[in-house]
Amino acid sequence: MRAIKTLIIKFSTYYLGEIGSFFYILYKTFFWSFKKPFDFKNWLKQMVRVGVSSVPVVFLATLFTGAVIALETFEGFRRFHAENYVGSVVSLSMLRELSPVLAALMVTGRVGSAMAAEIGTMKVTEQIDALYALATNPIHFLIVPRVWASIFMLPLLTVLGDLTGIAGGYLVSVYIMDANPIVYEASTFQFLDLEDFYVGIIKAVFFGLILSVVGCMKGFYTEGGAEGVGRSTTQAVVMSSLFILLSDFFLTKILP
Amino acid sequence: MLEYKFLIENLHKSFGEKKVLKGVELKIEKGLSVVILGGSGVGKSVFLKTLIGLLRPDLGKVFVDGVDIFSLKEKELNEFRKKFGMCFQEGALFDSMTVYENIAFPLIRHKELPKEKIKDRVMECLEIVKLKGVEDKFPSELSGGMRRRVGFARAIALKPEILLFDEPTTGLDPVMTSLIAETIKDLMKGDDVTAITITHDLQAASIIADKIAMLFDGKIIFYGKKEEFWESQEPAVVQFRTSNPKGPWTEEEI
Repeated sequence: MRAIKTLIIKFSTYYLGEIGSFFYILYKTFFWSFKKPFDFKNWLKQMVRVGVSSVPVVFLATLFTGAVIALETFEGFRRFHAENYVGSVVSLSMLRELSPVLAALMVTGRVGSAMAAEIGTMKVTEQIDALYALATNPIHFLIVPRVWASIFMLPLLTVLGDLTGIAGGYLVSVYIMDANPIVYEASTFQFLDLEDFYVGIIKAVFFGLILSVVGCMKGFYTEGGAEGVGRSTTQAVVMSSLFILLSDFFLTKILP
Repeated sequence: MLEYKFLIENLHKSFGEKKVLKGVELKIEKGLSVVILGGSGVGKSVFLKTLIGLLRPDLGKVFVDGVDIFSLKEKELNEFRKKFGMCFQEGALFDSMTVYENIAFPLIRHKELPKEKIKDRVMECLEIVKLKGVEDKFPSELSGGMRRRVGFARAIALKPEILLFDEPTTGLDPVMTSLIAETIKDLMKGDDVTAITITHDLQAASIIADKIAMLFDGKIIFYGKKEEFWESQEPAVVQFRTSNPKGPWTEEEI
């Protein structure tokens, strides 16, 4: 019993510490966001890294997810003659849920981990100290562009995911399951509101914020050489993914 | 009256149970090159990082030009650091940037100069540290000695009043050690630059130093002119100077 109690205390202390660090980095990021100099070149570079370079993985992940949903639901819905609603299921689930979550998880794996590794390596090789010594706050120079790039690019990747997910569903339904293309197209937009699109975009903004702040935070607090960098990278991916999925539930509950 | 660049009062710093600095007191005159000697793990790097505000002491004050640096706000301290140029042990160059970009970095961040002026200053800095034709290389393509000299070039780009060197010759051969030490001496020429170098290398210290301080057991136990260091009868100084395996340093270790 005592061991369990100790474990719970240790576990909660660790996570409370992590949440504290998260909000500290978040606060500092916003504090430094509006200070000069504005390094637009660096911001642009990060946008390319987060956004443009993630296009292929997000494209493939959402295309096949849309296709799989269509495949699964088509079979199920056929049993009670509701095949005509497959398009609605695909579009609603992609726009409201799967596209932002999948894009965020893909970017976490690709970019969040890289942020932790890059900043972590800079920490253990004194490059972060060198930035301070050169009168440059590392949060201003390293974290601010990464966080804003993620906040801007995740919604764009989500829009791409929405389109490819719907396209994946259409291709499977029409060309494999022999659905009527006109009926399928009508069904895709039949129950769709602009609100559904916004929900996905708002989620993407939050997910972009979470994955970049966690990735940068883990890198920034790296200790212990190469092993420490490896540990930070793993923790960044696990923690970001968990936070994304947890916050997804609460956002779904709050948003219309 | 002597003008002090640094006034260090009762500096204490611990990491967990380990007390590293136990009341360091030091006054460093303007325009001097001071070498802080001490064995491995004695807290030299901690001391140096405290001087520029990279580490916050548990107790004590550091005055630079009469300003208590730990009373400054984050942004003020950031601005204040423009007075400093710090050279790290392995150079701490930004490995995603070329040598040119590394040296130009502080100029781009803090000076609104046209590209030509930045290029001129970068080339001038490389010339001062006796490096040529390396501006397009990445840090990973340079030797240890070259990386350190690029680090020097980056540190002097903004023409700082204070230069800090963290173990600049560790791990280098005697020839490279002399070259690095001579480079540091060259950087001191002309302007009223105050330099603090921490090292355990007596060969380098003899070239670089105007004055020598010795850090032992968390305190400065000796501070005086280079000549006085060679004549000091302080047991820890004598043991360090003569590389004697018996004495206060080894007792401290045990």
